[in-house]
Amino acid sequence: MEKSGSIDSLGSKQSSSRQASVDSLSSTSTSRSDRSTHAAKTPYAMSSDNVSTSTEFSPELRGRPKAAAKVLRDSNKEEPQLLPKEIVQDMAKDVTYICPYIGALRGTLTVTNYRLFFRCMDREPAFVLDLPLGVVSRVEKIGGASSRGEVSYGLVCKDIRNLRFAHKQMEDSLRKSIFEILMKFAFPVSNGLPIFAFEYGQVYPENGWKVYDAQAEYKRQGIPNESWRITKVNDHYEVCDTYPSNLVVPVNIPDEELKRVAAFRAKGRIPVLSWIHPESQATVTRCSQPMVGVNGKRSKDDEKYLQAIMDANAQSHKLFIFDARPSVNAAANKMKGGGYESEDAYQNAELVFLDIHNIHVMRESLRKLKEVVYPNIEESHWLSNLESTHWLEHIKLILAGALRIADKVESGKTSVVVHCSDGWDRTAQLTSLAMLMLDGHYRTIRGFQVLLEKEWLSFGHRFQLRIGHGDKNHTDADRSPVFLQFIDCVWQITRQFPAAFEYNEYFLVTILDHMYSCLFGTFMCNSEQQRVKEELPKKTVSLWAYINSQLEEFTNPLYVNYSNHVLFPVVSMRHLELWVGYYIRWNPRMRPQEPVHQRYKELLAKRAELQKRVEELQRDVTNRSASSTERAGSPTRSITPVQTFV
Amino acid sequence: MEHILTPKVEEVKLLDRYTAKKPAIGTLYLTATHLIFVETSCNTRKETWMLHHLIATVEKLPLTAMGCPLHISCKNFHVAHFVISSERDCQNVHQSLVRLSQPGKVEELYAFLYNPKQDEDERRNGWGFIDSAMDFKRMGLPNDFWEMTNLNKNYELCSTYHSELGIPKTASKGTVFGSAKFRSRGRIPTLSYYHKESNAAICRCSQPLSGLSARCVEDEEMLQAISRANPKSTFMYVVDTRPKLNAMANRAAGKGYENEDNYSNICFQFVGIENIHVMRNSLQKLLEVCALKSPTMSDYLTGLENSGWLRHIKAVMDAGVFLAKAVAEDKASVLVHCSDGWDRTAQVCSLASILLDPFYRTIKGLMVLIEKEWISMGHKFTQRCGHVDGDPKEVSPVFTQFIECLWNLMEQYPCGFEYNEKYLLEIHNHVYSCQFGNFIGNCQREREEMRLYERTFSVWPFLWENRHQYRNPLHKCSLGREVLRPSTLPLNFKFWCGMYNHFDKGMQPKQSILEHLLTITQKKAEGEKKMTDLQIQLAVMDGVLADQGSPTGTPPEQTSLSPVSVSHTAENAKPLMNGAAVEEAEIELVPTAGSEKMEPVAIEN
Repeated sequence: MEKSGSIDSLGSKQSSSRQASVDSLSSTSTSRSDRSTHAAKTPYAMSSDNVSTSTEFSPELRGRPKAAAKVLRDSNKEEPQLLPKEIVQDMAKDVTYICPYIGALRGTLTVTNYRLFFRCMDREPAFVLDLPLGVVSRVEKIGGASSRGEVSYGLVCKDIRNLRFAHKQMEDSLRKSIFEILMKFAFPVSNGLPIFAFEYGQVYPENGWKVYDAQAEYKRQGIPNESWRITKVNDHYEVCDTYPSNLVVPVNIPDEELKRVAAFRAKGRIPVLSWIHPESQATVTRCSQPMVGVNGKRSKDDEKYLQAIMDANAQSHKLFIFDARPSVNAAANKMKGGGYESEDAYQNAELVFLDIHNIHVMRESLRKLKEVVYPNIEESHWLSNLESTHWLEHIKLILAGALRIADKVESGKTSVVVHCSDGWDRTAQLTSLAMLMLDGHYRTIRGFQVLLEKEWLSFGHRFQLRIGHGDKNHTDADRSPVFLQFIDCVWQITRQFPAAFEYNEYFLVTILDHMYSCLFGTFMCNSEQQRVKEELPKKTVSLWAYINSQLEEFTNPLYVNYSNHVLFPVVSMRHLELWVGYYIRWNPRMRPQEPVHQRYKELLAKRAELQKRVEELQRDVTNRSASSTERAGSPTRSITPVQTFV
Repeated sequence: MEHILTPKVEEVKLLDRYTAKKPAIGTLYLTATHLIFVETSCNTRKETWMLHHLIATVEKLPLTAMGCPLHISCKNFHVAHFVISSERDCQNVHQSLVRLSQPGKVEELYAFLYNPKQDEDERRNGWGFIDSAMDFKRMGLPNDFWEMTNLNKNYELCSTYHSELGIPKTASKGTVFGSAKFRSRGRIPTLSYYHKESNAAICRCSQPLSGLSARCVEDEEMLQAISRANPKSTFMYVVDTRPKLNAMANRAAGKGYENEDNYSNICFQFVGIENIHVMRNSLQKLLEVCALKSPTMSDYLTGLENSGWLRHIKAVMDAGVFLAKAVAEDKASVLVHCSDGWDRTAQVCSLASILLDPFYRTIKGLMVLIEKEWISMGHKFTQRCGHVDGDPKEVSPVFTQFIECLWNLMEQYPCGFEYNEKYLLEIHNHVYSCQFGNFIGNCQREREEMRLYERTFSVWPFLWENRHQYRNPLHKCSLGREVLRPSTLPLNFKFWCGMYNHFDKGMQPKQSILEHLLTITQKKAEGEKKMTDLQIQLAVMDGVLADQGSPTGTPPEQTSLSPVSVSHTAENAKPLMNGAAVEEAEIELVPTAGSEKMEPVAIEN
């Protein structure tokens, strides 16, 4: 039904505004560009957009590339706006991009050390595709040479889309195909090249690496206090190389004992405090599984340690241990020396399994989801197809688990220990979501950055492995959308509490986009130790520097500061939905019809204006009456009687 | 009153239908018009009112340890599970409700009792508040091509149509009457919407009595006249909203659809909306899914899909989009029919009108549209809503589907409509409640025969008076002129919690943006008032100070302040810092010990 013309112009509009936002470094994200474009235009006036107008949306923070002009010979129009240190590696004309929505488009393909840039000039307005190479998970040559002597290449992307190109076979066999060059730069780690984040040298007003200071965050929570202390035992990552250097532990457990506890926990990931309730002192603590094994090994130190965690909270004589795994998986881990806490060994502790599946199940679920939503949606069986992916089911279990944790802490005033196997995937999801429900600070933009830095980055969620930055090994079993699921869960909560979050959907999408883009150092490496070793804060730019330089873009206009409220989202099926704005954003038919976000802003600006006027007037009235009372007290007393209201 | 066996039952439990929450205990009263439950177990007086005529089913379940369960479900999807300790009381209540919820004749409906304390003039004015004839004037009728005729003034041409009909100027009386004989129940092609910008028109009718080979010259002339009324277009669409199979089956019964060969320059099209029986069963299945206590992901999604409900909503929307596109883009006129042209045709024509014309996206415009396309064109409200005891096979949620399509549109165009979700729910409620006379009767003639205009009141003035509640704070007039082209991908059609779980408080989202914005709007009004007060206060002071010739007087611009600032505040805004605190209290954010937390626990076990 859709006319090709409209899709057409839409596609190019998206990409043209994306091109503009290259300057603003958000090249993979369309939602913001969409929004700003819509802000300026009425929803259906899309064909009138063109490339030249789109530049007006690019924020002031642009790094005008100086090198670009030298490298490129041809007309400027076919080149991307290069970032600092971004260098064009190859360019090919007459490449065909087979767009699943528009059809075949012939144009020029440019590959740099950061991005792939395709531009089709035949169309009016021009069609542009611009994606960071970090997004590419796999490049495959499809079939042999076609009748026209063309070779076809498929790009499987990490952000729920696939791209297909075709171009002429090189006659000069010595010359490398542009796709070989692309593969080289898409997988720098496999090819011994640096990831672009280490080259990119944009300067921002704020150093994003300073957003998170562990000591300051613990201080905000009131730690150290009489029950909890910050230990330096892991200063050199000797006790646990995947943990941060600052750890919060019960006051009465000396460092020596901590080391013995570490011996009993997988990878030395001992139970440490993540969050403490400001009133009840109930805590959220996280760790890895105990090394119980088939013989049911026990550790007096570990038992004493958990007792100490429980004792640190005077309100409750119970401790809840949430094992994120299905009980079957937890039991199976005993074969590998792991397992779970037996209730015999841990008096007063109650063990609960949360039935969340492992990284492999999640990876498979996302793969199915991608099949269902990209490129086209099958009209007749949408719901049962969605059901067959189990994606929402997994989201629901994660949210339900986090809700139980938050509820135990808030309503039960009971401390909880959360772990899965290693305590860096499901555990991170659960603790961070529970903290998001419990503490309004994490619902602010900066607070959320702290939450990610703390629960995910410093506690060693293995981003490098889970995402596979710059690595060509796309079948790596360590890859898994654990962090994506977490962001999806956050989105679900923001849907239910539209006024409780300072950040908007675009903020969440931007974080995901730049997790893949490899433009910023934030999501590089697997642990704090590695980040320190790689000197990431020195050599790369933090995503937060970019985000905090344009907060306006990421602010939810409806936000009301509910910092003292605990959010208990409903996790029933009726209230969970597929995050269309992320998973189906490449489909032009899913383009939002109206810029409602913009409308909120308008309304709130009017509100603020009125508020200001009222305040001004009030001040005037107060001043006036103050000055008149002054006068009343002054020698010109005779005037006073006249002042009564006539 | 003679049907009320037990007017009052004490110690009745009201259960939450989704969770195992402690039941509310209270007293059940049976009045002539309502079933009222007054909660005694809580400190604040909480009442639940259920109008007898809204009750769709009353079911008495076998005695349990708690007492005798009585399940009531209403046409507005209000469901109540009571437990009455004495089986005898339950029996009595059940018996009374069965009788009261199914009035034998129209005169027993609430509208004939309801008196809002208005005099006859007010009543008459109220009925004149919405006039569908005015809407044709608004569209520019009469013009060179179209005119309003009163050929049907005695309902001789068509007993189920309105007395005034828009027809092409070139259609002679003979053509009109001849065509009426060839159309099922005489429902001739008549104007539904005239699109000024393109000269294209949407017309509606019933199926032709074409059978396997019959022809009618007048009917062919009639269609030609419609086609010629849009001189710029060389063809017109004829849209049969039924699935092709159904239409073919009708041919065997001497009815059917237009043969493209017999009519010049028509483009014939089926759009495949299912009939009232399919829709009724589909809703039943949807409500079953809705009643599941804590469905698994798979129960819920497959249940939803198997109900087919969202697919049917999509089909109606697709048809509306087709019509709007034909008129706005192809600039071609469209003739729409189904079998009788009062169900699917009404849905599709009214939806297309909304897509095409921003007027219908206003509070008053929707009233006009419903009056024009549904009430005056003979949608059989009495039968479809089951107002009185009658054939259950005639009951079907046709109007509900239209309202749901509208809601889906509003979800896609949050700034495009002057009204909000509450307005839709309120209208839907009134269609079924029969508190007002508008939705009683199956056609105009019946309403006149019942003398509804003298015996009941119109709902429109009542809704208009409360319009501030129904306003969409996000509405933007500047977006108004656009023709809406909604996306009809299946994932755009969602389960409407606001409709089907409207009365289940625990199922509603905790924070509603609409409520939030409405509060802001209200605060804006207060803020403006406060500002005016302050300005007056200042003016008084200024006056006094000026009299004294004080050097500390206000700067001159102060005087010009008031008109400027008023215009600033003409739109929604919220004053004062402390407004936030008020909102906080209104939006339920606090930890609730209720249903929501039970949910995950239930899953784990």
